[in-house]
Amino acid sequence: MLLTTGYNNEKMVSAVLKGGKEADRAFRFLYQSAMPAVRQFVLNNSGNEEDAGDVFQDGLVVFHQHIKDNRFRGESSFKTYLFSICKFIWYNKLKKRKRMSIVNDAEIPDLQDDFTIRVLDEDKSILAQKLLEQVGKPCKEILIKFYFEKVPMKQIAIDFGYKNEQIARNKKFKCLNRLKELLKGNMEIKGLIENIF
Amino acid sequence: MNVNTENMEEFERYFNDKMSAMEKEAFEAELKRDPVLKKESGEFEAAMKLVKVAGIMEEKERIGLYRKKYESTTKRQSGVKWLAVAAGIVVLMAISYLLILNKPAEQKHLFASNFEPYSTIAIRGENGDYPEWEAAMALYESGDYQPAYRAFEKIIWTDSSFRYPAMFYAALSLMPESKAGNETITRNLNDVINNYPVLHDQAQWYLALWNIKIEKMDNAKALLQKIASNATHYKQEKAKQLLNELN
Repeated sequence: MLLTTGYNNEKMVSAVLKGGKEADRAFRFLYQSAMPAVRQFVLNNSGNEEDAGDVFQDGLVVFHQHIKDNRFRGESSFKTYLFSICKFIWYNKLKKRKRMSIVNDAEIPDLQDDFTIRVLDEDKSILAQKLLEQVGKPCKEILIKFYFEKVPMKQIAIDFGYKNEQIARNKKFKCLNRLKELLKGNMEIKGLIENIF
Repeated sequence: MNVNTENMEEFERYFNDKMSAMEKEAFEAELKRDPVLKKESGEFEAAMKLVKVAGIMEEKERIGLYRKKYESTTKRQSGVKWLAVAAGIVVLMAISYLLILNKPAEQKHLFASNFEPYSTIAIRGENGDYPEWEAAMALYESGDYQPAYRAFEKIIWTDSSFRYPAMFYAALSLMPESKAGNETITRNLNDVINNYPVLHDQAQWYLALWNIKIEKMDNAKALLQKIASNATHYKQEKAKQLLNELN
C-alpha cells in the first residue's frame, strides 16, 4: 500500500511530475505525513484549524510549482521543504492580519518574490480564473496547458485530437484573442495583473 | 476579431525569451516605432499573464480536492475516536467501580493530551541568521525529532551563546519517544530553568509534563503547583486543570 510506504525526495519529485495516479497518491501521502506538523505549527502561532487547512493547501500549490520549475533540489527532505514554505505563508498571513512585524526567516531563498505565493496571497486572483472560464472549456484547457503547464504544442495537438501542430497553434491563438477581447474592458483584472507581476 | 498569427508568434517568442539578442533588439525598435503593435503586444502579454494566474488558481482548486478528502477522513476518524473514547469511559467506569474507585488514574494520556511541540516566533526572529540553528529548528518543526535532537546536541557543545535554547529544544525533541530512565530531559530542562530566564516558564511546564509521563507524580504536582500559583505564567490555567485531574 503506497500510502503507508515512505517516499524519498527522488520518488516524490518523480511522482508529482508524472501526474495522474502517481501524483494523486503522492499528494494524499503529503496530506497524511506533512499536514499534522503544519497544523500544529499554525495552531501554536495564533491560527485555527481553518487557517492550517488554507496554509497547507497553498503550501502544496507552491511546492508543486517548485518541483515543476526544478527549484526543489533535494537539499533538505521534501517534508522539511514543504514545512518551510507553509511557515513562510503563515508568517505572511500573520503579518497582514495582525500588522505584526515578524522576521520571516525563510530557509528557502527567494520566497519573498515567489510568483505563486503572490498570486495565492491576492484575494482577487479568483477573478482571473473566472474570466478564463468565459472563453469556454476547450480554450481554457489549451491555454493553461501551453502557457501555464508549458506542455509543447505537439503534445497538445495529440491530446486534443488536432490533425497537426499548426492547427493546434492557430486554435490556441484564436483562444488567446478571445481572452484579449474579454480583458479589454476589465480594469479590475488589469489592476490585478499589474499588482502581481 | 483580429487574428494576426504572425504577430502573435513574434509576441510569444519575445515574451518567452526565445529571441536572439539581435532579433530582440530589432523587435523592440519596431515596438517603439509602431504604437499599434505596441498596444497589441501589451494586450497579448496581459492575456498570457492572466492565464498564468488562472493556472495557479486551477491548481489550488485541484489540491482542494485532496484537502476535502483529508478533512473528511480525519473528521470520520475523530468521530470513531470519540465513540471509542465513549466506549472506553464506560469500560473504565465499570472497572473503577469493581475496584471500588481506588485505583490511581492512568497518567500517560495526560501527557499525550497536553504535550505539543513548542515553537515561538520570537526565538526564530532573534536567531534568523544562524543556519545550523535554522536547520535544527526546521527538523524539529517538521516532526523529525531524532535528527533534530542530534542537531541541537551539536549546538550545545559548539556554541555557548545558544547552549540553553538548544538544551531546551533537545529535551523537547526527546520527549515524544523517550521513556523513564532518560536523564537528559530532566537535566536539560533543569539547567534551562536555573540558568536561562527567557525559557524558564516553558521549561518548567515541559518538565512537569515529562514527570507525568515517567510517573513521578510528586515532582509533577510540585511543579504544577508553582505554575498554578504564578499569575504571569503562560500555562497557569492549564496547570490548574491538570492538578485537578491528577488529584
